This record gives sequence, C-alpha cells and structure tokens, in this order.
Amino acid sequence: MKSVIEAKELSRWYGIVMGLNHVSFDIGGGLTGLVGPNGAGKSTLIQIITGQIQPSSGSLTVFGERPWNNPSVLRRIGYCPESTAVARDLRPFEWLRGLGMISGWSSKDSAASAERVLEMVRLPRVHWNKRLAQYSKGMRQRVKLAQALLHEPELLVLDEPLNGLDPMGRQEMGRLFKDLCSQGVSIVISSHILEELESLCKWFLMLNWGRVVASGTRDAIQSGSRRWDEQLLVRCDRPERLARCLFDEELLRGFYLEPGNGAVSFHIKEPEEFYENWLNILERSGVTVYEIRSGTRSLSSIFAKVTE
Amino acid sequence: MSQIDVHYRHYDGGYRGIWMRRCTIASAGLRSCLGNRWMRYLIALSWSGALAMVGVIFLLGQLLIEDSIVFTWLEELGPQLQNFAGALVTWLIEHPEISVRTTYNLLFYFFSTMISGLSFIAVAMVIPHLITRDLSSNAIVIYASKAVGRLDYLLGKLGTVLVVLCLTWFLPLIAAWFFGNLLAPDWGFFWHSRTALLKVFLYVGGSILFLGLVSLGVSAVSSKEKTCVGLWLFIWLFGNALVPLSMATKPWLKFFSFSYNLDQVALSVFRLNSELELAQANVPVLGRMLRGISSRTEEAWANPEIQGALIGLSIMILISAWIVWIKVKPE
Amino acid sequence: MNDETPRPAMHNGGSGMRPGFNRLLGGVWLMTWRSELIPRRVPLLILIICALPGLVYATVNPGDTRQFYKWLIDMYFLLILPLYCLMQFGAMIRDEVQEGTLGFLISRPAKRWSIFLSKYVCRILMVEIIAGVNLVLLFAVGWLRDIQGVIAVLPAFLAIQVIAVPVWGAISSLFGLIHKKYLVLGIVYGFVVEFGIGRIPGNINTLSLIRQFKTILAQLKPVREFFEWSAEGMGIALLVLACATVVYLAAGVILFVLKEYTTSDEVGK
Repeated sequence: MKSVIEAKELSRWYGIVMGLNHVSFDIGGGLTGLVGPNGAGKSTLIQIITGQIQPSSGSLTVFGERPWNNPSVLRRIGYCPESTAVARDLRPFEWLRGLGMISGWSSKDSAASAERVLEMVRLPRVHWNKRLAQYSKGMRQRVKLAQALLHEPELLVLDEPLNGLDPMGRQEMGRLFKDLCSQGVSIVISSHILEELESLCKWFLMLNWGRVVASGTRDAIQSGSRRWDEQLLVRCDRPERLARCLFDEELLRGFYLEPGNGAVSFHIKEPEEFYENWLNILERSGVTVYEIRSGTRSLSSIFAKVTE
Repeated sequence: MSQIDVHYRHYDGGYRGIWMRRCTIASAGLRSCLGNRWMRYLIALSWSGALAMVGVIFLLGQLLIEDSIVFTWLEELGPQLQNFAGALVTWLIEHPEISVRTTYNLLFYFFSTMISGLSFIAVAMVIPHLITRDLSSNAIVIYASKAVGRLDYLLGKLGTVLVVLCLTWFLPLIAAWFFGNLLAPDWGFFWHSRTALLKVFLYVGGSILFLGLVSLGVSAVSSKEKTCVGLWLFIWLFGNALVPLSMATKPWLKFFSFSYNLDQVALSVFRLNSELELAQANVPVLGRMLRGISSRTEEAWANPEIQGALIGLSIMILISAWIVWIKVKPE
Repeated sequence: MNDETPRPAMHNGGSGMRPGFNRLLGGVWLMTWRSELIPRRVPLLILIICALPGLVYATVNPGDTRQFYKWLIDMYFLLILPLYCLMQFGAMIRDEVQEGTLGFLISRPAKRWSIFLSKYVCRILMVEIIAGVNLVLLFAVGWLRDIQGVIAVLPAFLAIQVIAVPVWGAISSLFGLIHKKYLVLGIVYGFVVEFGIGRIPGNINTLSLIRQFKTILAQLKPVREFFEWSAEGMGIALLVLACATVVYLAAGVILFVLKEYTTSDEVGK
C-alpha cells in the first residue's frame, strides 16, 4: 500500500504540554480511522496534516511533501474541522463559492462546484438560501463537509464529521465516504463514535497520550494486543448455572446477566487458566450452549485493551 | 442485575448563604480577569504609581528633617526649588494640620486623576469577563438554573469589576497614604491627612461604583467581545474628544464625556482651587511656579460644573441599567 | 432528496482550478461584502454612518466654518477614522481565529501571505466605501450649514482618506495578529506613540502618523486657517506614511506566515 501520509519521529509540544510524542506511522489509501480519547493528540495530528501547525520535531509528509504553507499539497487535501464554526453571516452557496475561488476556481466554476458538493452532501436546496447562523448542527456539518470536497481533494481529513448528525444523516455520510473511497479518495476520519468508525474503516490508527498505541486493521491490532480474550459472551439455556460453576472455580472477575435473552457476559480473571478449564466446566455444568462470542471484538473494547 | 452501584445520593452538607453565592460569582470573574497577564501588568503599573506617590510623600517628610539629604539635592537643583522647599517647610512646621491636609489633597487629586486612565483601560479588559461571555456561551441560563436570581448575578458581576478597580485605583491610593505616612517623620501626618483620605474614599469610591455600573451595561450590549470593548473605548475617547470641541460648539457636549464628568466631581471633592489658593498664600513661590496655568483652567478649577457632571453620570448609569435590564434575561 | 437520488461524482474535471491571487482576491471580496452587508446589519451600519453627520448638523451654527472643521478634523479624521480602522482591520484575522473559521482559509491551496494580503485589500475597499459615504455625508452637512467652499475641498479630503485607510489598516491588522485584545493594544499605542512620542520635539515625533496627517491636512487652506499646523515637509510626510504602511504590512505578513493561529484557546472567548 502506497503511503499517503508518512510520519517519522513526529512530535509536537505546546509549551510544556505534549501533543504528539515521537510518533511514526504510515497511512495509505482507503478509509482510515483515527481513534483516541480526548487529549490523545488526534486534532494535533490533523492540524499538522492539513498544514495549520508545524511539527516541533520529526517530520510529516503528505503525498511526499510537507503540508505547512504548501499550496501544492493543500490543493490535494480537503479538511473538515471539528468545531461547528462556520461563516455564520453567509449563505452556504455564497460561502462555498468564495472558498472555491480562493482554492483557484473561476467564479463560474466555483458556483458550479459549490452546487455539486452541496448536492453530494445532500443538503436540501430549500435551505440553500438560509444563512448558516440559522442552520442546525447537523446541517452545518454537511456544509463543512461540502467545503472540504469543494476542490476535489485526493485526501480528505475529517475531524469528527459525524458529530451532530442524526442517525439517517450518519448513514448517508457513511455511504458518501464509501463512494468517495471507491473513487480513489483517501479518507482519514477521527471520531468518538467508534461503532460507526468500525463499520466505515478498515484501517485504524490508535492514539493515546500523544503516542501511537496501535495501527493496522482491526484484526491485526487485536491479535497484536493480546492472545486471549478477557470477555466472553455466552448464550445458553441456564446462564445462572454456568456463571455459578465458573465462579466457584474462581475463574471470573465478574459477570453480567443480560435479562431476557439467556446471555451472560463473563469478565475473565486469568484467561490462560480459564480457557484450559473452560470445556471441562462447560461439560460438567450440563448447560446447552447456543452461542459463544468474544466480548472484545468491538473496536471500543480493542481500544480499551490497547490503552490499558 | 447491574455490576455498578448507582445509588443517587442527595447532598447532605451545609448550604451557604446568598452572599456567599454572589461572592462565588464575583471571585470566578475575578480569577478569570487576573488570569490575563496584561491585566496583572496593568495592576502592577497602577501600584508603581502608588510607589511614586509614597516617594513624593517621603521626600516631603524629609524636608522637615534639618540635615536631610533632600536639602542638598534641592540646592543642586536650583534656587527656585530651594525657596519652594524653604517656604513649604516653614508652613509645615507652623500650621501642620492645614499644610499636611492641603498638600495631601493636592497630591491625591493629581495622583487619583493620573491613574484613573489605567482604570479605564482595566475596565476595557474586564468588560468581556462580565456579561459578554455569559451571553455568548449562554452561561446565564446555567446561572439561572442555580439558586441565584438576576440581581444576585449582577451583584456578583459588579463585585468582579469593583475588586479589579480597587486593585488598580482605590487600593494603590490607600496604600500610598498609609506607607507615605509611615515613612513621614511625624505620626501626626496620619491624623492631619484624614480629610484627604476621606475625600479619596468619596471620589474614588464613587467613581469606581459608577464605572462598575456603566461597565455592566456596556458588557451587556452584545455577545461579541469586540463590540463591547470597542464601544467602551469609543465612549471614553469620543467623550474626551468632545470636551475641546464643546468649547468651539455647544458647551453641553462635554457632559457626554464620563472622564470629564468624573474630573468635575474630583475638583468639587478635593476643592482644588481653594487648596491651591491656600498653598500659594503660604508658599509664595508656588504661585510663581503655577503662573503658566491659563485663566481658563483656573476658572475651571474654581467653578467645577458639578451639576451638569452629576446629571451626565446619572444618565449614563440609567442607560446602562436599561441595557442590563433588557439584555440580561436568564429565562 | 432521498437516498435513491444519484449522488454527483467527486471528480468532474478539476482542471479549471488555477490558484492565483486574482481568484483568491475575488473569493475573499465576495465573502467580505456579503458578510458585511447582511440585512440584519444594514440598519446599524446606516445609524453608524449617519450618527456623526447628524451630531455635526445639530451642533454647528450656520456659516460657522471653524466649528465644522473642528468636527471634521479633530473628531472624524484624527479619532473616528483611526478607531474605525482599528476595529475593522484588527478583526480581519482575529475574528476568524476567535470564531474558529480560520482553518477553512489556511487549509486552502493558497500561500498564507496571499490570504493575508487579499483580506487586507478587501477590507480596505470595504472601509473606503463606508468611510467615503460618511465623509460625503459630513460634507453634505457642511453644505447644508452654509460652510464656505466646503464642496471644493471634498476631493482633497477624500484623497487624504484614501491614503489614511491603508496606513491605519496596516498597523491595526498587525495589532490584530499580535494579540486578541487588539483594541486595547491600539489605544495604548495611540496614547504612547501618537499622543506621547508625537509631541516630543526632535526627530522622534516622526513616528507619529497623526503628525504626518496634520502636515498633509495643513496643505488645505481652510485647515491652515483654524489649526496652527506646519504645512512644511509634505514629501516627507507622504514618504513616512508609505514606509509605515509597507513596514507594518510586512510585519503582519511575516507574523501571519510564521505564527500558528490555532483556535483551541480562543474559540468562544
């Protein structure tokens, strides 16, 4: 996979506060999810990628060049910031037309481009004549996304693009990102909504305390993080009995009985010991098992694991 | 069956009174203001003014000591200053009560009007921390959801601006009075300067109250900091520019200037003209030194336009109160 | 628009994109005038423009030339115009930083210096138009108040204003880049440099821009009549103003290019 973004020993400090601490990674094409808690360094990284701030040390290149004050790279990047701030006094069409001209479109082409991207993000035409100050958070999010698409970038950097969108809107945006990806656009998305990120992205970059804690596909991250699952979800005919048996053997930290569907979620004390005895105990308990599922397969649980 | 204990617990500690809540609002605003290093520099600048005043009072006190080094300096600086010092010393020794009072009145008038400019700048820096930011962030709604009413909120905010103005204006003067007298050769200076101190309380206290009330109104004008600060600076500078213009056009224009109005109040409180006349009568050389002052200024000192000034200030407070009333609506 | 509606393709031939200063200027101008002249703001703008002429009309006696020029020069030229420039140009970049919209501009394929200069040029145009209307209204009041020869000097005053706005704009935009409290910074500058250093005898007072404007204004006969300003050194005054514009503007450009303006510590303040 050819790298779109490449960071080597990248650090960024804000006075004595650390934003990024000697991180090295490659981001290739396709959809990449940027995951991390607040203060992990996601926004700092995004600001460096989009040329808004410079690294304190190390380097970051996008398409092989440094993005700071470099129009030839910025021409290929579309950026949608996290904050809901927009040019409040303008109408979306006016704003996008102006930004299009700043990007290098002629007035006419800019108008056409603005119209095209507003349709892409499915902002109903009926709202095009309202000022952005009157827009809801979700509508602003669409306009922000539209401005990122305006100059037909090859790389889209989206900081929390799903914030404020209703479930329908999230689905629509998800489809749009996949469409764009299929057209060859690389997308980096930072989001707190890990379930949605999980359904969108194949690649992930996980940050915590300014460091990259894991990167790669979900499966690769999970296999690299730990061999045994510490959570197990079992659906059976007598979940209480199974739980009691495991508890008596002192193999559990705790468990959670899901009311109504016969499922029990186990928090395992010593995974190695647990899985050695698991089949014997299951046999001894005499319960009929319908389903066994890893409890740590979700992105959020993987993230929780790698940031432990 | 939940693994987590989620029992909701009511607060069972003691409750603080309404004044404590007002103080909390004031102190939150104050912390926010003092977090700005430029504000801290401004306060330091005001206090350096106070230090200068302490220095002047100290030098004045040194004149009463016969073998003081100050006399040697004055000899070097020229005969006029030497004469001035000689006459002043005679007056201080013969009529200490009157001379100390007069000298302090004059000093306090000049120092308090001199450092008032710093307080006007301080107000410009405080204004965004009062109501403006609460309007833009909708924090008023949060205040309203607590057990504080509109009046409590405003009193808290007024507290913020009053404390800042005390730090830049009132306290430096009080400190100057205290430390100046502490360094004086005679404890009697404390007693003799009591009326000057009272006048500081009256003038500076009244002024900071006025500035506090007006700044609340200005900060409630808009949720944009730029608009509020710009408006304050405009009111201040436009008013100042109107004073000389009023001489050429309409005299009432000058009452649009709050700094002119406050100056008129200061002239009335400190009775600058009568104090200067008294000083000139006892220290004749002072009269010669003040000969450069125009007759128009002397006339202005003699007859401060207190009535017009008070009306002007009152109108400004009313406008401010009206703005606050219509803009600060937590509901 | 439902989900079945075909979505436009991303690439429909971006070959028409040719980043350049002219297009950048066009885009910034479009956004500047559209956001300035929104219906909600127009009444306030009219009020601001008409307030001073109204006050002048109310306070100047018919035929009293001195009163009129006192208002025009002392109040308008030497106070209101610099203050208006301070507010407008100081906010030029700072407002974008505080509102969190600067990222949209600086992540565009344009050099930072060109973004700054285009915003500066557009702001000059906007301020010149508004201040021009204000000045014409002031002269209209003068004409209504029977001020002798007032219309004859209008072009000269307009020309001086055309020079004044870029100078005050350059220094104000620099203040806006230096600190978020650019208004206070501007006032402190005014007191220290314009009213302080400007009154010190010797060469140092050349630093005062107001002093240069006084020299230029003193070329006009009615001004010489009522103000005791020296008309000598017109060339130097113009040179100083030109140099000041270039120096302050260059400082602003350098600052904008080198400094990182992140919104995190300013948004909402």
